[in-house]
Amino acid sequence: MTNPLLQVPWEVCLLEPKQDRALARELKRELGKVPRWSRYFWASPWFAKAAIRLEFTNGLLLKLDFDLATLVALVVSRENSCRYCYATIRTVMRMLGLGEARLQAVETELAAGELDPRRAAAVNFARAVNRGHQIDGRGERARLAAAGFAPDEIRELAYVAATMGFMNRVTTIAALPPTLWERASDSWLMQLSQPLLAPLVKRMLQRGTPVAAAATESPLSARLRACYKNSPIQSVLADSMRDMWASERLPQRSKLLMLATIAQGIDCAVCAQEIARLADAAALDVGEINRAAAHLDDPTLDSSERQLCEFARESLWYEPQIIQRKARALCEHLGEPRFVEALAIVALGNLLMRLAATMVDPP
Amino acid sequence: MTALLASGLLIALLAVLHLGLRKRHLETQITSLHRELQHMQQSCGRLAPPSVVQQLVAGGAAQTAERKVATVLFIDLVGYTALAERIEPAALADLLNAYFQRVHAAVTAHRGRIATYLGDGVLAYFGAFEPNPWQCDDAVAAALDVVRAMEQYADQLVAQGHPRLRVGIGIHRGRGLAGFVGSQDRMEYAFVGRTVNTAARVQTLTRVHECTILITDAVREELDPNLPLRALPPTTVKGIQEPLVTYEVIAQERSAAESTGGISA
Repeated sequence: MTNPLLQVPWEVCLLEPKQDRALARELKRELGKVPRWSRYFWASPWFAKAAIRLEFTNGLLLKLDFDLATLVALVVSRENSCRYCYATIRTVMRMLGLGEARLQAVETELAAGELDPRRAAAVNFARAVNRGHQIDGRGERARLAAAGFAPDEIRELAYVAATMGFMNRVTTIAALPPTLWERASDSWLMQLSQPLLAPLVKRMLQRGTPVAAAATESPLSARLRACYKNSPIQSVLADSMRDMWASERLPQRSKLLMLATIAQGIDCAVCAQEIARLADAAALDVGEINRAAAHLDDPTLDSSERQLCEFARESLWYEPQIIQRKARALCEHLGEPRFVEALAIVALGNLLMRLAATMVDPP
Repeated sequence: MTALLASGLLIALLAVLHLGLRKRHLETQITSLHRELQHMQQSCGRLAPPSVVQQLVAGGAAQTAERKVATVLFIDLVGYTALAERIEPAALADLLNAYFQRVHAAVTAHRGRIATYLGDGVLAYFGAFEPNPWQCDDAVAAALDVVRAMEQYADQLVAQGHPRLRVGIGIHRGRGLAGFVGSQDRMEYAFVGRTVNTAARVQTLTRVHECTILITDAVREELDPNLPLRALPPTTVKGIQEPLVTYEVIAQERSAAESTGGISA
């Protein structure tokens, strides 16, 4: 019997990988790497950079155990039916030396809910962050603390869970082809080359070092920044939010409408306050934004805005094939550069809103 | 002595081989069971929310019960009983299937779930499976699509010499119990409680008020204020003490994109 994730219907990829030597050099210089998957999103360079920077393996974790982070990444990808990320993480786990039998044992424990209390608490927390509707952030964090997690581990666990949701949305909505990774994890070549690959992969899992407060100006919530004080996570979140807000492909009103729709969808008071703050900074009418997000229909919305709100709503809870088909229709309507921008906003919006709902206490 | 040693070695080798094969067989069985469990969870995910499936696996059906606010839509085919007595069973089955198909398409396009078919009636939920803060707008949009689809289908039926069929739809929003309910032999994820009964009663009022879609005050409070409604006089219905305040939803022309739930795919 094959892995059930392989049976999740998956559309043909919506985007073509781009060739751009100048951008490749820029990425190599700034980030030290040019992952192949990022080429699909080069129509929006800031987003490709943000997606690479946001990877939790990228020197962002100070305390959290990488084995646990990888397990959480696997769980979140399974929950979101993301064939691409699931296959990728499975392959990474195999490369790190986890045998097929052990990997299957882990999956059985997950399916049957038979994890040890610490890992079970982490998995339940990651699920809560991703299923989020009225996330009880304080309660979820208290449950983790009761299971023995330190505050620094908790904030990193929240980040890993939320960024995996981000990566799942990015790769699922664009329908990146998962087949290569799906074949790789079980191939004989993998088994043969595993001893050689393991040290290379381990080197890729960079542990971060504490940093001083990020100096960059960013519209990122001050309260969310405060949660990640002294962590390199703070600056990658701030930079991503700054670049998303500054990009001119879509008007700020459209971006705010999409973010407000996500905030409405997860019913988060903290997020609603952030929407009001952003609207104020952009001199937009927050009442109008909220009315439109409350019903996804308002006389002030134009046809593109209506579709973007609908797309943001679709990104909250989705089945891969359905959202991929809707994304294709949106891509045809907006054109690829603006579509990639919209994809970036819904993925980043979900990440930031879910993280804020989990980590920031309502006033 | 050598023969004894050789046979001992052979027996030991066979035992090791047997144990190895046995281990391999058990591993294959475990792998197969593990896949089966995952498949069951994946399949159940279509019938109930994933969190509920995990609770079901971990603690049994009773652990899945939770109170939720959902919007319930109840549809009935007006004129069906008289028609059923007049036409052949095969034609009647075709007619019913065509009607259910249209209702299903409209409900699922607006993120609703068909709970059950009750004769010629349909019970659907919005927001009972996954969180849906737009559940009232969705339910009304689905109802409007059902009416449009059934009007087109009724035109076809009239052209074939049948009387004109129409639907009556009642929508109510409120709290209820969501979870796996039923007997040991037959269990399903359902939303039960007074909200469902009220939606069914509201549907019966469509005949009293001679209209197609009726909603309660609880729905109106959450609904897009730009949607035209007509307030109707409070009416007493069976099983509910207070007279029910209802509103008729006035159908408007909508664009194709809007009527399929936004982005068409």
